Amino acid sequence: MARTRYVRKLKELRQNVIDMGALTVRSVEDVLTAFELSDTALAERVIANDDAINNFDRKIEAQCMTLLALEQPMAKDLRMIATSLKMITDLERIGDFVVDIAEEIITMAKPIRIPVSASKFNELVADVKLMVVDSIETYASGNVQQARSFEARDDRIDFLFKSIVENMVNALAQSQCSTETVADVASLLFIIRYLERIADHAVNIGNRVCYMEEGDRRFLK
Amino acid sequence: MEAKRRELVPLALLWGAGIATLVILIVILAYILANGLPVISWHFLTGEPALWGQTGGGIYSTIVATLAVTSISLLVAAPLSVGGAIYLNEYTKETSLRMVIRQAAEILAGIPSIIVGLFGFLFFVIYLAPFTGGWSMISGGLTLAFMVLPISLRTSEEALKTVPAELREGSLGLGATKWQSITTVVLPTALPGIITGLILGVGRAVGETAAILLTAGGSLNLIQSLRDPGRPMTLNIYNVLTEYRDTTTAYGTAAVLVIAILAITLITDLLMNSYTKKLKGL
Amino acid sequence: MDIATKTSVEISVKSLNLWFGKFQALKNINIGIQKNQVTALIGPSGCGKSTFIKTLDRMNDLVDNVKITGEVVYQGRNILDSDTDVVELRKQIGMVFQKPNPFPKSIFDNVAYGPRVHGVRKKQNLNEVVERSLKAAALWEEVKDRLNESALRLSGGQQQRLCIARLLAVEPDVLLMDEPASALDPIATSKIEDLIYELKNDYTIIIVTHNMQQAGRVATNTAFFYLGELVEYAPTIDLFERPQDKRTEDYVTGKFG
Repeated sequence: MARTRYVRKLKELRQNVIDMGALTVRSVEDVLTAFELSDTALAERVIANDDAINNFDRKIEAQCMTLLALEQPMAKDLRMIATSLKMITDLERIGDFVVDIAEEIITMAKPIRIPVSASKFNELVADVKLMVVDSIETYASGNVQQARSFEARDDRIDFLFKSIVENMVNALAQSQCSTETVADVASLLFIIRYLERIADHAVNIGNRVCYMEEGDRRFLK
Repeated sequence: MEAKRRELVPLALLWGAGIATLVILIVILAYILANGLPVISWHFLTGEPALWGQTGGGIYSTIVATLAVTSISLLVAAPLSVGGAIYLNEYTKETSLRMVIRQAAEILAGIPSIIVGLFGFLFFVIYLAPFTGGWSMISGGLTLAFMVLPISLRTSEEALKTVPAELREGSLGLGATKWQSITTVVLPTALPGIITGLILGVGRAVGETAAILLTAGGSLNLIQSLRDPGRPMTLNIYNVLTEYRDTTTAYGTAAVLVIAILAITLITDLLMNSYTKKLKGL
Repeated sequence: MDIATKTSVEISVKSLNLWFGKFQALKNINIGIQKNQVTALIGPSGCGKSTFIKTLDRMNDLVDNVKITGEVVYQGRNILDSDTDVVELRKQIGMVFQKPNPFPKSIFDNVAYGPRVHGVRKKQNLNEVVERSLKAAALWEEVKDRLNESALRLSGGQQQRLCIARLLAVEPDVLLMDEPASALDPIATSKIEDLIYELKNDYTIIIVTHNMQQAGRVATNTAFFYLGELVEYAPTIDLFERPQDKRTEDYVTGKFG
């Protein structure tokens, strides 16, 4: 096998992206735990952790640019680098949404109460969490079949999002709520909106993994 | 320091070997010219030879005879050798025929000149006497051509070989025919080498004695036609020395011969250098 | 190999096999070269790409012991037929070589060489052809005041453009280029590449190159040769971004062997 140094640098890049992904997954899990337990301290820690994700973003971008500038990567190598370059933006954005969620958690009354069907809400949370985990997993494993399932899973998440929003609006309209409750409901609306956006980024990652593995450019068109 | 000193020994030996060649050349030239130059005068160059049995006299007729046999040999050998070289290098593949022809040229070059002379005597002087006039400039010139041919064939072939294949491909790639490529690109590029080969041949022809001895006759009379016998300069040196011990005329003739050969070599070198420079665009 | 059917095909190669003695240098090559496009041939040394383009203008005829089967159809005729007028063919399919090979003649005489061997004698006609060809090869401005100087005094890059001009002067349809920039520095190389890109408007160009970036810069389609086989032939971007064959992938990523 020729170009051993180059191959090693590609491996390092890939490992860094996976590590950044793992870090992002941790943040998503932690913030959802903080939400569940109304744990403000944990939410604070999650916010503090975002720096680590941002640092990874800059470090990996530099690695990609170096490889592109010096090694003239081609074929799958080129696709892997391009995918990584785009994917870290998705991960970084997910990290930002996590921070936004954490900030909402801090402002909300404790314990957090959900004024609508908890089952849909819990399903949404679980689905989003799993999608993020799976997106990193497909990058690491190259499992294109799994990546292709993301669009359908996202449709389900979008459906849940819309129906929860509808339920909340109805709940607000029908009851005489206190100002605090209205503020909490607004925060909840933001949070599920952020979760829905996080799922969109996971879908992006899935599409880019398809491109990385098979050169499938359909998502660009 | 020790290593450096040990280096000096082989260096000195090699230097000596190189210098020896130069010294030998200078000694011979100086000796011939020192003895010969005083003999050369306008009368020596243009005068009639001494009468039979006497020494001294001019060498005009021998100069003319040398010019005659050399020209004939060159006229015959040049087209044959250049044509042969073109055929071998451009038209034949690396086959046994090519090897045989090349080997033949090599052997021809190695045959002692007296034997070539013997053949010339039997073939041109005796057998073809009605055409050549027996002992004559024609017989001598044709015999010399045999000696010039292998030298200039080999040098012409080498010269053609040094023409880069890319030039031939370039020409053929533009839709030129093979013959067009040879005449317009290959030959002009190889010309310096070819001319040098021919000059080497001329030098050999001018200086040849044994083959001439048996074919050109030996008459000191000024030739009136190419079918007349004559005595080229080399032969004259041999004759005046062996018959009359006339060292004066011998040295004089030798000096003229040496100067002529030097002049031909130097002038050709100059011309070819400027031609090569022009080819290279310098 | 779906390229061949897309646009008009200038040269269509079918089941081409070539042997040097017992060594098979080309194995069942099928390829359609698109008209007015640049087609790059890449592959490791000895893969057959140079042999392949030499087949297209019958330059392999100069080599001993060659045996060729199959068809190379150009202008409705199989140029491999023994009754092909090779001299006429080479007027239409011209070759630029790896090392610039200007003749040791003046710049003018180099460019006028082709027209002259094809019978153009009038000075005025020759002047026109020389100027037009040098302009087309983007060399005119640099040499117009010294047309009578020896071509060997030009720089390597200028010499190569002169060789291209010399070729254009015989008005070919197809230009074959055998690593035309491999002996040149980056600036001279980019000039040649710009020129190739310009020339494709009027000519069909096939370029052999070891430099994949070069293929990427100039070629519409690229063919990958390996061990005498045409492994993959695709639009250049596809071949470099998502090659279909494992051997192509390994070659373009530089992880061969």
